[in-house]
Amino acid sequence: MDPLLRAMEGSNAWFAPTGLESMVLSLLLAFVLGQAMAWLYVWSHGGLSYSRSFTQSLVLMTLVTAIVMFVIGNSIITAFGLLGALALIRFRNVLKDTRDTVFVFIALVLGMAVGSQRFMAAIVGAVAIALLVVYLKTTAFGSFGHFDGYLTLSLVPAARSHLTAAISRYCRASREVSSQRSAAEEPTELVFQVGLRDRLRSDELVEELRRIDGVQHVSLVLRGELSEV
Amino acid sequence: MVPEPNLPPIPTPWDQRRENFCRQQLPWVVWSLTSLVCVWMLVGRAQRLEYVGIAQPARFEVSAPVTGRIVSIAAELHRRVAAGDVIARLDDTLIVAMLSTSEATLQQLEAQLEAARLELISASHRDQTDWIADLRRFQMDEEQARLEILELNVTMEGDAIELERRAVELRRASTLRDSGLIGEAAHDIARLAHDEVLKRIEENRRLLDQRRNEHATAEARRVAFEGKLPIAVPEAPLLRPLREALGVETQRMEEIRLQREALVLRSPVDGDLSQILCREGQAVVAGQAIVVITDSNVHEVIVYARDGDRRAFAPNERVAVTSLSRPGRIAESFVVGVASGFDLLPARLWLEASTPLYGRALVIAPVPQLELAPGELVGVRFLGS
Repeated sequence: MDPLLRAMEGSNAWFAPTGLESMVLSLLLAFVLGQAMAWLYVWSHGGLSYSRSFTQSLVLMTLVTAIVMFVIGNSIITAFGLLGALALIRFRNVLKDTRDTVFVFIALVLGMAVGSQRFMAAIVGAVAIALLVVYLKTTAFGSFGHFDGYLTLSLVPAARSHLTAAISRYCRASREVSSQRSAAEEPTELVFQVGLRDRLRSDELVEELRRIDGVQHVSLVLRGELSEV
Repeated sequence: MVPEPNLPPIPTPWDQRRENFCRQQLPWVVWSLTSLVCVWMLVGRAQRLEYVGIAQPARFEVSAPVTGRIVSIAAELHRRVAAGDVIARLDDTLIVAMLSTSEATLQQLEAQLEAARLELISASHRDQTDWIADLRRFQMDEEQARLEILELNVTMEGDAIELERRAVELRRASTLRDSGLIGEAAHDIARLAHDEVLKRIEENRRLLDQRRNEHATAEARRVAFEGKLPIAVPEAPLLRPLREALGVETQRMEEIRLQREALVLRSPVDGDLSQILCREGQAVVAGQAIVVITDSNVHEVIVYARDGDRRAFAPNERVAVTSLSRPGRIAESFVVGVASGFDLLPARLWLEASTPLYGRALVIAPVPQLELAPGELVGVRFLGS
């Protein structure tokens, strides 16, 4: 256990860990920890201002910061240079999106790495960041939930079981978000979050629900690809 | 209308399955795999006990044996020197003065010897027996031979000093000629002056051998004559102080010779002149290092274990050694010795220039097959750790 703890402290080697193996380990560990923190953020977020791009920025920023440490090394001059450049850009150009700021930071860091002759750090870092961005885009990392849209309808209590059967047939997942009844004899208005088995057959779900007796005002709103949530 | 019961779920298209997988399972798969890789790399790192050290050559500091002024430094920086090669010369003015004093003393002794000879001659006319007079004469001849030997020694010491000066001039002339600053004629003048002194020394050496033979003959003749005497003859009062004075001068000559030899600093070993700590014309005190000679072969490898490392090290532990500048080549060696305490690391091994590091030194046996250069950074991994 003790050797493992020493290795995790980074204290196993005397010489500064600037080798390729050390850099790869640092980047992988940064990704692991960054994604864990991002999941934690998603799980613990309770407000209304959730942003997927911010969540992805958390993962990106962890990796970029690891690259920054490789570029700076032990040079305080380089550190101050980076700080100054970042402050200059921040105050000269207001960036609304966190992800934009992260990409500006990436450009800065890669430029500093190349300028300070740390070519390996620049190339390995650029490749790692590129792979990470592709990964985040492919997985739509940070998307809140895996539902495709919202199904709204009104129904009488007797039609509930038929509703459930129809939804199960067309949806792989569903969750009742809200139900509202204005009076005892009035139909109940329900809102479901649904994940469709086949998004191209959403019309069939609506049609089938409308054919059920006791179900009225069926409406399905699908989330767009540009949704932030 | 009532929908048909027990209808099967509609199939999910392949591209939507892929999309669902990418969005839901893939992040977990990638994260888990990456975590496993990280753990594997960390465990591998933990199992490798690696230290950094320096290939140490044997270093010899050539110090001034006496206080004096450096006249010349004969070797050039980073040039190869052999054991016995002249490295530097100190000022010999004091020696020259001491030789002059010795010459004057010898002249005084010469005069005393002549006075003693005249006294003995007059004594032989005052009814002194013939055989006492003969003995005195033999003793005089012996002391005369000793005096001549001493005079030759003084002359040869002076010639030796001059020869070293001529050698310095010849070396400078050669350097200037090679640089094109002087012509061949000037170089030849220096060379001829050097060769002349050399020849004179050779002649004096032959004369010295001859004088020694004469002294031995005179001594043997005296001893043989003393053996034939019927009674023991007391030593002539005039010869006793002369003999003692000659003894003193002989010892002084030996002292001068040793001091002269100390003015020429020679390399104790074969190696490279890695540092020149003083310059020509600089005054140095006895014990002050003038140059540093580094053996071209690596004498040992010294690595440092961190002060937080509680692992116990023992001699004869097997290690793998590699050069950090040529990591592909690895050779096995073993631990020769372990320092008992923690010392300050060489500044070259500090991670930051402003933060000193401390560690325990481990001496590793040299590995000739790696062809390490003296001072090269070396990585050492403990096998079986």
